[in-house]
Amino acid sequence: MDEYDERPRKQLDERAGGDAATGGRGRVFRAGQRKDGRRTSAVLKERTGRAKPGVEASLALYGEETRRKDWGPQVAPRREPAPQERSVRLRLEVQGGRISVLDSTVVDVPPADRSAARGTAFIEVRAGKSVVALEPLVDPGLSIGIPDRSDPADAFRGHRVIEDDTWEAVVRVPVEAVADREAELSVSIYRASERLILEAESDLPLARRSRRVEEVATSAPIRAAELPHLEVERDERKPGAGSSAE
Amino acid sequence: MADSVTVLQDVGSGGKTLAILGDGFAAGADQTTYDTYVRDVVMKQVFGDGYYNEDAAAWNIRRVNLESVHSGASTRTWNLNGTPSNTADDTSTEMIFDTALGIISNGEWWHGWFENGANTKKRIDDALAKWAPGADFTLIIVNSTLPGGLRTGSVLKVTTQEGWDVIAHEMGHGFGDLEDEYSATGKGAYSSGEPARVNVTIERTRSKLKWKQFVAGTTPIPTGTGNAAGWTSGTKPTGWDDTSDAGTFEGGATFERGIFRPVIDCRMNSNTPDFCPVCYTELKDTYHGPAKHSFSRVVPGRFSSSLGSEFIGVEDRALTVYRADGPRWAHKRTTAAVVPGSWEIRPGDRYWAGDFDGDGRDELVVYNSTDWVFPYLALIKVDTDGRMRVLARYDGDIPGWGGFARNDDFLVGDFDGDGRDDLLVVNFDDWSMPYVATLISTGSGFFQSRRYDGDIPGWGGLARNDEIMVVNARGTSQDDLLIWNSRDWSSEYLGLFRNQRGSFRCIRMWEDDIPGWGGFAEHDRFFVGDFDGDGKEDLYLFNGSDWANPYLAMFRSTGSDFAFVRMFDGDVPGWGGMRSHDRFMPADLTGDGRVDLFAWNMDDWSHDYAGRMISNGSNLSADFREGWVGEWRLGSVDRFERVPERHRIRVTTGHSQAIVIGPLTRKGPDRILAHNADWMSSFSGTGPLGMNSIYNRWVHNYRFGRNW
Repeated sequence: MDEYDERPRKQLDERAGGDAATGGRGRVFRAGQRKDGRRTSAVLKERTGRAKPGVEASLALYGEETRRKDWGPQVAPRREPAPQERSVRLRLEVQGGRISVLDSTVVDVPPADRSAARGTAFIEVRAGKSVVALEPLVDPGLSIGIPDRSDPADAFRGHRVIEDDTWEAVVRVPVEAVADREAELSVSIYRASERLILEAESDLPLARRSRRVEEVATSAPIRAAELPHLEVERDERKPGAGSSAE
Repeated sequence: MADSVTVLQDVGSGGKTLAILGDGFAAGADQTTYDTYVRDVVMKQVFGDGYYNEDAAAWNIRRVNLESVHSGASTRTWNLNGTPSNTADDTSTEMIFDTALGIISNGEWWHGWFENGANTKKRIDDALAKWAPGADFTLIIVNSTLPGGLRTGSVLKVTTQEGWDVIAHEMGHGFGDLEDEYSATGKGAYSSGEPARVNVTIERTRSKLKWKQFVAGTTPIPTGTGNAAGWTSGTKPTGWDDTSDAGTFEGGATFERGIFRPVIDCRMNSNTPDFCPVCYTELKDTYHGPAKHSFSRVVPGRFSSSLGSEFIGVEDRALTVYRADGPRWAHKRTTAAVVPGSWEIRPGDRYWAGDFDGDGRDELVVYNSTDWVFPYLALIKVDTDGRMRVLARYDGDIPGWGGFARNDDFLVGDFDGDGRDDLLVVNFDDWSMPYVATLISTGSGFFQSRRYDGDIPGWGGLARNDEIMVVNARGTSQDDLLIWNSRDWSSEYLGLFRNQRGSFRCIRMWEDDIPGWGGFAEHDRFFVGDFDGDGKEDLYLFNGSDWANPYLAMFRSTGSDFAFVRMFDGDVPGWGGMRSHDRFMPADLTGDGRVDLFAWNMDDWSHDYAGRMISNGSNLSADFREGWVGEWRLGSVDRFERVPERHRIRVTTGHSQAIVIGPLTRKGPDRILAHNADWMSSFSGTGPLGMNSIYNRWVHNYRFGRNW
């Protein structure tokens, strides 16, 4: 027995039309009406929504159509940036294998994509034991000048690679990572022996996740409260009236 | 003029951000120079072609206009004192000016082309933090008459003397972490271990090559040996492509030997070629997600040409024209973020194709009722080079319609017979009654010619569940309508409507049955197609669930009626049995001018099926594939589209093979496009279904190998 056993077959040899109730389906008439050629669906009032303005009224409302080359931007709904669309931007300085934070600011852009980090060098920020940012770096510590197009083919020097004693990097971390004033941030930069594709979301620091990376620079732990210039909404009281001011 | 930022391209969250800054450009004419360089070199040349155009939708692009007090960057002129490699003894003179970033242009390779002035690093960072805090890559254009380019991590400085090819090469480093593939003269041999980057290797064993998937078995490994080698392994094969055919060629990462690159010449070698398959694939893998690529939505048509086959891939923030190249497809052009004119591409866009200007090429109509404060409708033209532009846009309403609404829907047909497709706009959901209107095309826009409030004359009332179809019942230049309703009334109704003297009216109505069908039922489905090749569109009717057996019938159009031709009771010969979830799409699969049915069923059997029901004019014969069509594994997530084909007829004489008569064109067999989020395939139905091509995540015809 299959799904079709209880249904009738079409009566293909019967005269078409006529009383449809005898079509062999045992069909029950629905509560609707038959079309009678006279009434419009305005009578039906299927919905309690409003009616459109008349055509003439609509033409009057629209105004004159003008020929244009550019219609300008479309109007987007206004919305406030969601919390996850903000981050803390850290400007870092690397010198002699030591990383320090030069500046920090809250910006209205989300942290870097957390789906995957792909490359041959990486910067990682940890808040306590959690990894809060992992981003690829390209040629960390190098300034690379383009080839000189005036070089003859038999004396082509290619790029000029300069190793910088001091260089900078930028990384964005979630605002939540610094919301706790006592949270300790630490930053590391790694070089990989091959191109890696890493899950950016992880509880493990990169050094413990992969044997193919070498840490080339690191920072001392930094308390969130000590991040320079950072103003984050925190639940904290104002200094007491008796505190000295410079 | 104060500093400012202009968003040149907004692809939303999830995209990367390219920040473009200028230094040494004063207020006024300098800013125009800077803007023009960004527009012409970066936007049009770098992102306008090749790989960067394919993944343009991965990038939000912000142009930051910084006003320098002085016009022209600071300069420093170095005297190398005859010992160029010893920079310690070099002396210099300089002219330091007040510019926004304080960058010094020195025009000297030995000194890296640029140097930082006072607080340059901080000034760059301050500008980025203020105007483009999410920058993933920064391009700084320096107003200098000297040559130069310098990349420090993800910040690239170039003078205005540098062209698109330098930027494109350097972005290969910055975007894809790709290695150089050229050799510097006298650099000697590479002597370290296996390099980390994907496009260079010291490996000489085929099976261990990083890019072995792209190397044909007939290609010798190594393929070229010696300093900066080309092909040295015997005779270079005829047709070998120096950029697209892979092997192993000695010389790379600036070294002359001891290390191998994948191709003879790639963008990472000499700038101007596009990327080789290895570099291309690395970039595509990296930016597939940020670009939000997907094959989920496609719109078939012929957009850039009146011949051939094309489709437009619709993504959240991009539209891409793909063109058939024999059995395969090729990327033609991507429009990211905004169609000039303008239409900002958004996920809620819905597209329809039609030849709205009667030039033999399709245009696009787009409607978005979800992403904006009010709905928008636009007409988009696709030029022969694949670029798009807005011809007309209607903000919130089109005169006479009374306001766009969320559930407005559109059908395409030529309702006035002038050779230009028009629109029928319908709304059964948002108002107190159904509304329908004809929007007649002028070639460059639409005007409402007639609105039907609640009824179309002769129909007895529009109702919520009316299903409207376009049909060319007479085989003329003017399309008619069919309306079907099996749910709102006590009877089932089918109506044929014709536009007469500017107004549609019902010229024929069938109540409860059409002779030969044996009675309408709730789940009857209609498919329009000229199955007998007489130029008039006919009907296939199917009901898989209301009767003891599934039924499929053929009704041919007489121009004002549909006459019964044949009934299939339970099966079409060769199909193996119809079932309730059989699905159909009319298509001329064989190219004989008769519209057949492409059929599939992913629900009712233990395997998935797709196949053909071929019309001989009065009968159908079927065949099917089980589970697979070539390499395409059938599945419930698959969607199918009919892609029409038109080609030029080559008429030759006995004396010459040249085209002597023309242009004559004819319709070719329709292609069937199978697609889901990550996969796309093209089927041929000229015989039992066959797979012509298959693509994973992106359309690229690798010379050898594939990206999966």
